[in-house]
This record gives sequence, C-alpha cells and structure tokens, in this order.
Amino acid sequence: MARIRLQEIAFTYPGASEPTLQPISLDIQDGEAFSLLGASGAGKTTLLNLLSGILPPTQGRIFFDDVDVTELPGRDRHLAQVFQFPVLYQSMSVAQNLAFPLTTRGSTLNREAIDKRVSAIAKELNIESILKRSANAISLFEKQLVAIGRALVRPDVSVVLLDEPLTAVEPSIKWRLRRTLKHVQDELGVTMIYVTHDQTEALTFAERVSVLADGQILQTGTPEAVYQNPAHQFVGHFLGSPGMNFLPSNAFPQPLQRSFAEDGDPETIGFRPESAGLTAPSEVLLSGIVETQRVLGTAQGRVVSMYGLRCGAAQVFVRSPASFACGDEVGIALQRWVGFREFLRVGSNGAE
Amino acid sequence: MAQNKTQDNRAWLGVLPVMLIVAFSGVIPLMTVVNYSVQDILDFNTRFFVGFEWYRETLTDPRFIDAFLRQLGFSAAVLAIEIPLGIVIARGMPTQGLRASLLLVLLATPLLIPWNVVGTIWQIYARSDIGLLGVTLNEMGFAFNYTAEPLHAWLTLLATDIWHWTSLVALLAFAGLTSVPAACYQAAELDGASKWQVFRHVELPRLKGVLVIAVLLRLMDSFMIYTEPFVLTGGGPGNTTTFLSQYLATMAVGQFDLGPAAAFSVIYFLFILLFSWLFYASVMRSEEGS
Repeated sequence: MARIRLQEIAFTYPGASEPTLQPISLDIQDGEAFSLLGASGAGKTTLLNLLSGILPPTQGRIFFDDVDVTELPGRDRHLAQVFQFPVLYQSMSVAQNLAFPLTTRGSTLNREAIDKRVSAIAKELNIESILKRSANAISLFEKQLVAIGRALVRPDVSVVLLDEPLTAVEPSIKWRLRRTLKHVQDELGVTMIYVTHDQTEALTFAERVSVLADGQILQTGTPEAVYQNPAHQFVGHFLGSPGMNFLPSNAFPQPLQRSFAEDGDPETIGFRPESAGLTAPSEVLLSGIVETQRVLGTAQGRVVSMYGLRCGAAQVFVRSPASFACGDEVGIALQRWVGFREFLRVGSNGAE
Repeated sequence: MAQNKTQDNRAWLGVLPVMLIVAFSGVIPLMTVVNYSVQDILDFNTRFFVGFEWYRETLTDPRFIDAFLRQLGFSAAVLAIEIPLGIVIARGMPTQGLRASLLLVLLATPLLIPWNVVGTIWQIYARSDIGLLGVTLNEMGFAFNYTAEPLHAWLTLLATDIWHWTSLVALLAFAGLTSVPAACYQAAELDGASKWQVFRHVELPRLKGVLVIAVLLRLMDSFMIYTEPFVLTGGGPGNTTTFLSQYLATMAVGQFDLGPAAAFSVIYFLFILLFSWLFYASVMRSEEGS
C-alpha cells in the first residue's frame, strides 16, 4: 500500500499541438478510495496510463510513497489494474488466475503461502465456490470478480487502478460488484484509484473525487463538497442529473441581487434542481414559465415532479412537489446557491 | 402436437440440386473407386470380384509401408518446423505501418507460386553444379548433392515445403495475434509475467483456434504432397523420397493397376480422415477438459 503523489505531471502525445494533460498535481493518501471522474476525452485514461507506466510523462514526477517511480517500468511499480472488460488468463482455472501474480518473477512466496493468500482473497470476494472452474466457464460478473481478485492478491501491491471496471457488467448486478469493491476496499485498506465517467459510481465509491475536463483537474474534494460546492461551473454541470442550473446574477430580482452582492458579487449564480422550490409568482422571486413536467415519484405522500422552466433566455430545472401545469408562470425560491466569478457557457465536454 | 403439424415434403426439392452436385462431384466418384478396389480389372470388359484381396495386399506391401512411414516422417517434420517457425515470424512482425504491409505481401508471395514452379525453383537452386545454394554449399566444403544423398534430398524437400508453406502458418498466426486485446498484454506486464509466460498464457490460448486450422491444413496438405518431390527428386535417390501419392500415381497411371490403386486410394483417404479426426477430437477434448 502506498501514498501516491503526482507532481506537476503533464502529457502531450508526440506530434500533437495540444497537451492531453495539463500539469496536474495530486496527493492520494495511503489506503484511500480515490476517484477520477470525467467525460470521455477528458484525459482520464492518459492519466491512468501515466500511473501504470505505459506512457512516460512529458514533464513532472510520480512518487509512490517517497520513491520516485517516474522512470520505472510498470511491472516494477507493484501496481495492479482492473480493466473495462475482465482480463483473465483463459487457459487457467480461477485459482491459477488468482495465484498467477504470486508465481511470476520477483515473487518469493512458497506454494503454501500462495494457496493461503488465494483462499483469503477468494473468501473476501466470495468466489470460493468457483476456484476450481476454468476461467472460461464462469459468468461475466464472476470473471470481473476474479480480475479484481488478481489485482488484490499481491500483498505488496501499492495501488489498484480500476479503469471503468463496471462497464461490461450488466446493470442489474453493477450495484453488487460496486458494493463488493467498496467492501473489499474498506476491509483491506488498499489504495484504489477508480476511473469512471459515471458520477454515481464515483460519488458512491470514493472518499475523494477529482473531476477532470480538458486535461485539467477542475476540483478535488469529498463527494459531498464536489457536489454541493462546485469550484467550477463544469463540475456543477457535470454532476447531477440534470446538472446545476446557471443564470447570470442580473437575471434575478433586486433583493436577491443585493444579497449576492454581499456575498462576493458573483457574475453567475448556480443552483441545483433540488435546492429550489416552486411557488406562486412574486416580486422578490426569480420567475419562470413552466415548459415541461415529468413526474419523478412521491415523497411524503406528495407527487414530486421535475419541472423545466424558461427564465428569460435560459432553461432551468427545478424539482418540486408543487403542482403546476405547462404555461403557468411561477416563482422560483432558492434554498441554496453557489456563486461563480464569471459566466461560462458549459458544453458537454468541458468549459468553453 | 405432432399429428397437427402440416407435412410438406416439397422442401426436399429445394435440397435436391445440392444433393445432385455432391453426388456427382463427391459420392459417385468415390464409390467408383470403392467399386474398383474390390475387383480385379484386366481390361474394359473383363473384371471379377476379389473382395478385400487388394486391401490385404496393399497393407502388407513393404513398399507401401515404407512410403507410408516416410510420409509420416515428412508430415511430422513439416509440422514440427513450420508451426513454431510461423508463430515466431508472426510474433516478430510489426502490426501496422508500411513495413507491416510490405511484409504481408512478401509473406504471401510463396503462396501464390504454383506447386510445380516451386519445385522447379528449388530443383535448380539446390543443384550442386549450377544452383546458387548447391554450389555455395559445395564451395563451403559440404559435399552437397541431393540427387545422390538421401539425407540431402530430404533436407531439400523439407526446405522447399518450409519455404512454400510457413507463410500460411505465419499469416494465420498473425491474424490470431492481432485479435489479442492490448489490455491482456498490459495486465500480464503488471502481473510481472515473463516473455515466455506472456506467450504461453496470453497469446497461445488465443491462437489456439487458428493454430488448429493451420495444423489441419498443413497435415492434410503435406500428407498428400506430390508435385514438389515429383519435380525435385522424382522420388529418388532410389525410393527414399517416394511418398504415398507418388507411389499411388506410379501404380494407377504408370502400371494401370486399377484395382490395387483403388484400394490404395481408399486406405490413403481413410488415413487422412483418421489423422485429422484424431487431431481435431483431441484438441476439442482438451478444450472441454480445461
């Protein structure tokens, strides 16, 4: 287990004019469950490849504990990786797969110690019953469990990299695998870096999340902090479904503008669909016209809907138990908001 | 349920053309051979039934047994060299770029050359009086002469076959290797696997399918080899490179012994079928067992 430090790591593909990764610094604690979240093309995989030693960084250093591993090949970094689809040695049994990293070069364990380690990991992942089966003859879900087991089996593993490990697994059992992963992480205290574009996976798995866009880390923090207090508009937009609403602060009525002014005078106000409510229109509230309504379910006996509203030029979404019809003019009461210095148009891939 | 099912036999009419083609191209000629093999044919009008006499005679014929053993040795040597060599070549090939394309064309070239031309090329190339290889070897102090030395004849024949057909194995293996996902190599690297372990546990299991095809093709083809030895050595020196097909041709076309030749053909055919089946079945069984 190790603490992972990235020091001003950057990467530009040979011949490319734009860097794929801007200089990034990260400090991941020993035993931490860490997540890298970003849309495809944000640079997640490149960052992962830098960590696993497939790519050499264009600049910067990588430290595992206090050892500079920047120049070390992947096999000497003592890390393990779980891939999008299960990568197994298909001609071996499940037990042989789990034992394989312990039998390769540099491993000094004897047969007995290997068996002990394999059965401990199998027990942890609850796959003892399939140990003797061929790696070809088990379900996709079990295969990915075995791949995870192989990543965890080496006692000296410094960090486990998980590259969208739930992609290939059926939605109906994703949550089982996610829970197993989380459980194993808690139990074994392995440093894990979980790369995903799926916010639910990232926010439920990690103790801390870094949101990546356009080769930059926009924000690093606890899931709660990243969700509630996005440091960048893209973070607010990317997290949540639908994401955060953004309006220029001068679109709000006077009394609200005054309270914004007391709070650092932001250019842009962001608020989440669930941190606003709909009421009758009023002078002191932001007003909007209901354009769409979609029933989400019930809460405390009342029907809750997601309303799409038009506020001047912008469209905002508000989750509310109130009952309005399309075309109604309503007041939007903010319970919680976040101010941003400037107004950015936010695209799907990053800030523009 | 079964009684209510509408019976409509007209569908058989749809299969009829295929059955006719297969009958005329495969079954009837084969049966003709089987028919010949149980008769003694003196001329077009005089023939009589001899039962399994020709089979007994063929199987106890020392010349047949010799040719058969030579054939086995030749096929075994061809497989033992071409399959590993093809894999080594495929592994060494670049996977993309101009060099990869050029190498693929280069590899495919021997496959496009007609058999008898291949035989002629090597017949001249290896000649000890004017051939580049033969002369060079003699200059270097090896008394190389494939027309007189059985071992030299064998080596020349093997070299010819390897030159002609290793490409096929290499191309098949190359196609198989390109289907190995990059993540598998990466996982093996992170697991600390050695080069041999990567080959043994990552590549070989994924090559199994194409290698089965390669072995079957090379086994059947080398077992039926005729043109190259016919052009190169004519079966000599003596009978040392007379393989089954050449012995058969001498019997059927040269001596017009239709009955024994037919029995020979049937035995020959059954052996190829048997070997292919044995190989395929053993591969499939090991697949299930693992």
